Amino acid sequence: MSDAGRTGDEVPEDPGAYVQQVMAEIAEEVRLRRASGDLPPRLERELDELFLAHSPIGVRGGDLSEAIRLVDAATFIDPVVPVESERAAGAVVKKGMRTMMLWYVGWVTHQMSQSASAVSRALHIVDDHLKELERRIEAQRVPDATVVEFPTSVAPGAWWVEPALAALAKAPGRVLHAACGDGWLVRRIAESGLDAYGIDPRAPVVDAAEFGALDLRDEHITEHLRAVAAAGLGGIVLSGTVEGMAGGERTQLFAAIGTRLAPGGTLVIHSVGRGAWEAPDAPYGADLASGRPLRPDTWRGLLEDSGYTAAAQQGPDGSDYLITAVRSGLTPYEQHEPGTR
Amino acid sequence: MITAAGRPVAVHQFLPALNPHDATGTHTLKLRDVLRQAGWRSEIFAEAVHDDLVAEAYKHWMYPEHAADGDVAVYQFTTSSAVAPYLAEQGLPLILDFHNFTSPELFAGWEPGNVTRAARAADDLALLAPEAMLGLARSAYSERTLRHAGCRRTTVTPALADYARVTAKPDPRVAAELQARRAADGGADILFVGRVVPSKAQHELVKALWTYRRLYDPGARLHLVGGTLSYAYSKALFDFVEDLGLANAVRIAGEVSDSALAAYFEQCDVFLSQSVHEGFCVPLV
Repeated sequence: MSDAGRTGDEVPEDPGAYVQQVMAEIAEEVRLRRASGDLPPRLERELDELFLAHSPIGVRGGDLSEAIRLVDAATFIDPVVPVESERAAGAVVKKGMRTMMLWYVGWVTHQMSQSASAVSRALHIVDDHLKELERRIEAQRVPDATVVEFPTSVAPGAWWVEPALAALAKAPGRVLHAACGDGWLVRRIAESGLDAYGIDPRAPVVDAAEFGALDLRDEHITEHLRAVAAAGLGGIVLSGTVEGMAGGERTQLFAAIGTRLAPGGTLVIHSVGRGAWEAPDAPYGADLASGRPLRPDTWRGLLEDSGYTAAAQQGPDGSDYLITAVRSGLTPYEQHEPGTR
Repeated sequence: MITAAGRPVAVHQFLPALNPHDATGTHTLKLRDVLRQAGWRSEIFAEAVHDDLVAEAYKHWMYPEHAADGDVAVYQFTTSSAVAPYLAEQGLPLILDFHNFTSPELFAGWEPGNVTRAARAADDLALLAPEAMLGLARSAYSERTLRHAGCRRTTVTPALADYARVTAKPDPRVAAELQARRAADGGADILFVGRVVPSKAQHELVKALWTYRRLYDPGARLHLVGGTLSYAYSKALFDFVEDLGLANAVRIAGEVSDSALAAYFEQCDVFLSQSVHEGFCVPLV
């Protein structure tokens, strides 16, 4: 990476421009490394997983069986203390003390071990019951919606891209695109002068993307939004995301959007209609999905009831549509912002 | 500020723990000296005082022995402490000097004790902020936290850092060791200074080093300077370093003397931080 002939002691005339120049150089270097295969996105995931393997159970997400295994390992309390010593006669003294106290220490540790064993046994019973419950619930579980993309409507030249960009033009903050695929729309949004990034739950799609300066991550939309700060986004674009969602999952997603989208922020939804969804040439994911696409008027009503100003636009062949909505209202942050200092 | 009795008002400082070599301890001692030079009486009262500083401070419950009309209290807010409710009971005019605190979720899963302590810190802030006549923050970010907690008058002021720490004569032994290693193996020396805790994310630095060595500089080394508050995180970090085969490339130096710190700053090529949370990040300055 070039340093433009600078030394550490020089102060750049325009620090902001210098930082931007360095960031651009880093982005270009990352793009080249990604393209060459030296820096695949999975590399960081593998490093994270390796670190997590050394982390306490709580950090790893709380695996009950693993926690019980640790309890089991710590259940027996050994009353026979080690007597090795670096000092002359130290071992003899320690051994003497151990012999004298063993009856007392042994009596106490025996009860402690028994108590710990009883706790461990109870935990195993709870674990067994939970596993049985999980097996039963799994059979009835509604799977999370997967991304269902209709190739003709999710492409740089699709009719809805320009109206979506126009709706996002005044987004008061960062714009998120889900599901971003290889980042084609993130790139377009960034080119329009907005700060944009993308997420997609399909890890192989993100791994195969040529990132360049793009910020793309393999994450699920609802989980991702839960990690975003309140009112942290200026715009959210959902494409290929909501069509197959069942009611509960859709409700959770919109609850998360309602708090993460800033006042004045723009929500853009591109969805296919039911005709395209049920057509013989629809992607097979449509057949497997738990939910079905909503009608444009349903979206508009739903969003307006939630405090958005919404508009619907039908595609030229009637197979898909675009919803654009602007959020009103104050964030919890602003409601508590003191008026004066 | 002169009292009716004609003597200077005392401005006493209170804080959870007075430690040498940390940003808050240094700031507190420096501020005490400045206050005294300006003619005020000024003592330090803390819940815990490091052995090396017992001559510099009193336990907080000893304050009544030093109390006088016109006293003003400055509370160096870093974490939860018995000092906060104690100060609230005293009813003194209060200045809240806010260094921010690490959010409980950043300790979650690592140190249950620290999670509880961090959660209580928010309660302490809610208790004191509305009563403070002035809130001092290290950054606009921290100032916003103060205002949300109910502090009506706030401003941003810098931390008083002990620049003598890094302008001290570098420890020749440490400097020679770093130079010898570079002469033998080549490669860049990367430095981070801060406590070994999850919020400073030293494991991210280890990841960065591993990648940097793989792609650019097989001889690069990482020096982590700072004590630890989390045994679990330190152990995970050690094991991670071992697993990546970086035991010879990562030096976890722990707390070091001023002259050793100066040697690290003098000899290292880059200061690298990937902290998730920093109250101010004095080492960067």
